Amino acid sequence: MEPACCAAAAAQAAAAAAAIGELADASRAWQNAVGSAFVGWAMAQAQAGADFGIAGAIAGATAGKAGAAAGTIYSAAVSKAAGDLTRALNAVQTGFVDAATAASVKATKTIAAAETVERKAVAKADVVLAQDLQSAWGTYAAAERSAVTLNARERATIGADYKKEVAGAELAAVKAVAPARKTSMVATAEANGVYHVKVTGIVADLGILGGEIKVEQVKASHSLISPATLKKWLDVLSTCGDMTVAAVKGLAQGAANSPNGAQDSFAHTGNLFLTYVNTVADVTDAFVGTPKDQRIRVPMIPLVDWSRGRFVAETDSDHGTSKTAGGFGLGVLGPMGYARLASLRNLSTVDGAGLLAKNLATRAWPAASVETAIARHAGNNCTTWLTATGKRIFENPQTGRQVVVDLQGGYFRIFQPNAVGSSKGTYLNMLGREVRPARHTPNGIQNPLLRDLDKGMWQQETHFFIEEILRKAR
Amino acid sequence: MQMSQLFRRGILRPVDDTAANELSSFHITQPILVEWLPIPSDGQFQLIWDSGLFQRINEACGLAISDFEEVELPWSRIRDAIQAAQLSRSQDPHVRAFTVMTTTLLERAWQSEHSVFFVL
Repeated sequence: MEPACCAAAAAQAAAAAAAIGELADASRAWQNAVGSAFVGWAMAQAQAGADFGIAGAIAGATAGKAGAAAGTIYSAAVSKAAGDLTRALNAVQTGFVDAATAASVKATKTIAAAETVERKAVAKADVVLAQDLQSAWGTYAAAERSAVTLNARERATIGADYKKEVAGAELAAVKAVAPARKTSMVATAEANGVYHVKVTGIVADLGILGGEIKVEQVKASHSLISPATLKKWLDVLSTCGDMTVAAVKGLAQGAANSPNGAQDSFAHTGNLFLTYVNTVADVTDAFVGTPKDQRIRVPMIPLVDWSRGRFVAETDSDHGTSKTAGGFGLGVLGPMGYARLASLRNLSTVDGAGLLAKNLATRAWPAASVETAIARHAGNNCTTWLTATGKRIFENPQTGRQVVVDLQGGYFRIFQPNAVGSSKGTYLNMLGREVRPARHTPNGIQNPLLRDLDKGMWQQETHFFIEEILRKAR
Repeated sequence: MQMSQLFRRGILRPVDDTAANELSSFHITQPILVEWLPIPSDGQFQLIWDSGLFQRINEACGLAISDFEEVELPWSRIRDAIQAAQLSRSQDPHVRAFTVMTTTLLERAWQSEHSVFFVL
């Protein structure tokens, strides 16, 4: 007999085997079912894919056809539009070219017409101008000939009248001079005596002159300076505390030179007149046949240089310059201050005669009368003064015009300020015009600018040598 | 227009060649660039003249600078003029300042190789 436990175990094993068999069966059944289901799905999937592919192919073909059709339409439309544009542009361009061509042609015709009109007008104007010029020139030439002829006749008439008057006056002068001469010489001798006494008295009063002054051939009542004025002037100057003895001596020398220069001027003026009288007498005697031993002539006034080196040593040129300037400017020397005189002393370092000689040698200035210039431009009521550089100014108080005289350089200029009192201004010629002289050119007489001719021309046309000095030097 | 109508009194330095050509003819016909050292009054001119500045330049350069005259100092003589101006001594402050400015103007003219013009 088997034990109970073995039976149970066998039962359990059998049950287990049965269960395993059932499980295996179930598993196979499941696998079969799953396999079957998968095949079905796969078949369905395949069918669906095939369907999709067919449908897609169909749809693609359709779309391709539609695209192709649309593309054709688009290309055709674009092509058509491009053609339209080109045609339109061509049309516009053609129109523009035509219009431009037409406008250009028109403009050319218009311009040609205008130029023709203008040329005709210019040609006509030239003809008229030439005729006018010819006519004007003819008129001018005739007028000039007439004026020249008239002027020559007038001058001849005036000259004849003048010569008659002069001859009459000269004859009367010769007759009048003889008795007057004696009276004049007596009066002069008396006056010299009085003047000599007075000046000697002043010399003694001042006590600085250290010697006597012999004044000869000078009128006592000299219009430019009197002994009283000389004494007063020296008195005033001697009160200047800061002046040195040398300065006082220099001033005294200048003071002596000035009347000496004035004396020279007076003597020259007198001699000029006496020369004139004697010349007339020559002519008259020759005309009436007066024997030579019976002819009467007036002696010349001698020039006496009594001031030279009186107080200080001087060179010839310094002394000459001082005398000339002093005589010329005596009327205004009195009010001058020490500083102004000091500046004049600076001038004495310049050789005045040398400067004039240098100017004469190197400048091509014209000569003109300073007296005429002063009378014409400064007038009778002119104001006069001396500048720091030693130039004397004669100013017309109405116009402000100035005649600037440089005695050392022996020349003068005429200056017209922009306004009275202004330092800016213009230099003029003797006629009072701005300098633009007429010049002969290849094209006739013209007034070119000086700048176009020669730089030196400007200086030449606004500087004038003093004719009076040149005459005196000859 | 004459130079004296525009620049009297003073010392002029042309800034360029155009101005130099214009000034050298003593006539002004167009706008020009210049450096101008003016002397504003007769009193100041008197002081400057009394200082001997212009006389020294005249002596050194053989010129005739004076009032109522227009004188060109050529470029070739400017060094001489500078040396002469530097020798000038004055107690007056205005004259000293004018002398310094004149020297400066002359130096510039030397550097720019242009003449200097005295319109006094």
